[in-house]
Amino acid sequence: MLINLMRTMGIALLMTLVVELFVILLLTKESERKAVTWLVFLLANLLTNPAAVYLATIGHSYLTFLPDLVIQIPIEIAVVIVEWIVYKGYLSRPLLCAIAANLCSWGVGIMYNRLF
Amino acid sequence: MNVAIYAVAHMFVDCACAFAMYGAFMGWQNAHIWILVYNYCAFALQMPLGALVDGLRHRGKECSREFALAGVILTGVGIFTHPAVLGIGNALFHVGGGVGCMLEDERHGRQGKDFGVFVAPGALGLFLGMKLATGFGTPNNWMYLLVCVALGLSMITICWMVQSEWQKADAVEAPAKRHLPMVLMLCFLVVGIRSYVGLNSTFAWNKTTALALIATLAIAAGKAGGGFARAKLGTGLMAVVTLIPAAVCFGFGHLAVMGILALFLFQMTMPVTLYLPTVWLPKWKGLIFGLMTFALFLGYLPRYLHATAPETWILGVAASLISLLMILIMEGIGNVD
Repeated sequence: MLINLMRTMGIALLMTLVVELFVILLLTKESERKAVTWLVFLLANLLTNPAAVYLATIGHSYLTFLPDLVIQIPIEIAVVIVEWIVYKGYLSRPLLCAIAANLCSWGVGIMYNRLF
Repeated sequence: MNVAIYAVAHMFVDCACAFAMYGAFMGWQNAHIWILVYNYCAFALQMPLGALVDGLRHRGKECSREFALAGVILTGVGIFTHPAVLGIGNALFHVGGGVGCMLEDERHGRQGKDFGVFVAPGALGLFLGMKLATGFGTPNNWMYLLVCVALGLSMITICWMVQSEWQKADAVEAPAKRHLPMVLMLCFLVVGIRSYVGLNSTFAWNKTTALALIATLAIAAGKAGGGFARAKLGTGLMAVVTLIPAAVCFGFGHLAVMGILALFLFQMTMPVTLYLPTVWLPKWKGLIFGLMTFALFLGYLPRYLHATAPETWILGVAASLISLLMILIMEGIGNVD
């Protein structure tokens, strides 16, 4: 169980970092792409992603009467709010970046589970 | 360029929605409820979302592109999750893309030509999505990937548009219009009637994929051409030269050529009913777009409730002539051109 959870969290973190990096690259200007921005991006995801995956996995296991979507949506909203606050000082459109990046990584995660 | 990007993305989004609805969600238990939920989210929600876009514009934040971007991404999520998510994604994209195209049209003084260009590919997207979902057996993973790649490309191009600076909201004052509620209601009715006719027209010749594709292309061409025809001829003349021949063609709709021509001509008024209200209420483009899509939703309800529809030729002839009358009244009392 623990090894499976760690494996899931590792894959999720890796995929999230790749997808969100791509989205943030698309939505930011050249002047915003500094080393400190990427460090903040990495830290924000290290902060939010494992916690989100852990909560979603626990919810899926113990709150079996609830559809996955009902568990995932509040978690994703919380992640967007945290990342929005973190990005505020570093990006010109922090809310857009947080929403677009998290929707994309969430979508890719669901697609991965559905297709593979 | 932006309108072309929105138009292609519109085709991909509608294709993805039709693919998911026909390929996955139709198989769910109580599918009829999920179809209603999807249609409600996709059409009726555009009105409040449109009002939200307008509200943000009035505060100086033109964010139609951001709405379109969120719509494309949420549509991608919706394919794998729930019809409601899919519908919300669809509504966000349509409001964002629709308002974006209206603003582009206004900035370049194109008098509604861009509206048709944006709306037309939707019909083609729905056709492709439906065929992809039902024409090759059960949808497989490669089809899902194909749809996701199309949405991904749309997302990347819209991100590229978002990259440019936020534009200041245009402070166009609404010209004083007499009888505004009346002309808006007439426009709403014309859109509702067109939706009802579109969903209840069945032609005996429309049995093969090739003819279905040609009919879909005729609808798309009608929508796209309508904007150009209106800009060239003016509203009244354009309505006369399209809807009277459309009524005649519907009368002979049992012949494939006449039926296709009827669909083409009848759809040409679509950009008119989208353009005119934005001339009357330039500050409320999003709300107007949402209001008209709500009329589409109401036009869909009788079919959902299994209400019996008249024969297609009677329906087509009557709808063409009633629409013509309403547009002429609108032009007369609204002094639109």
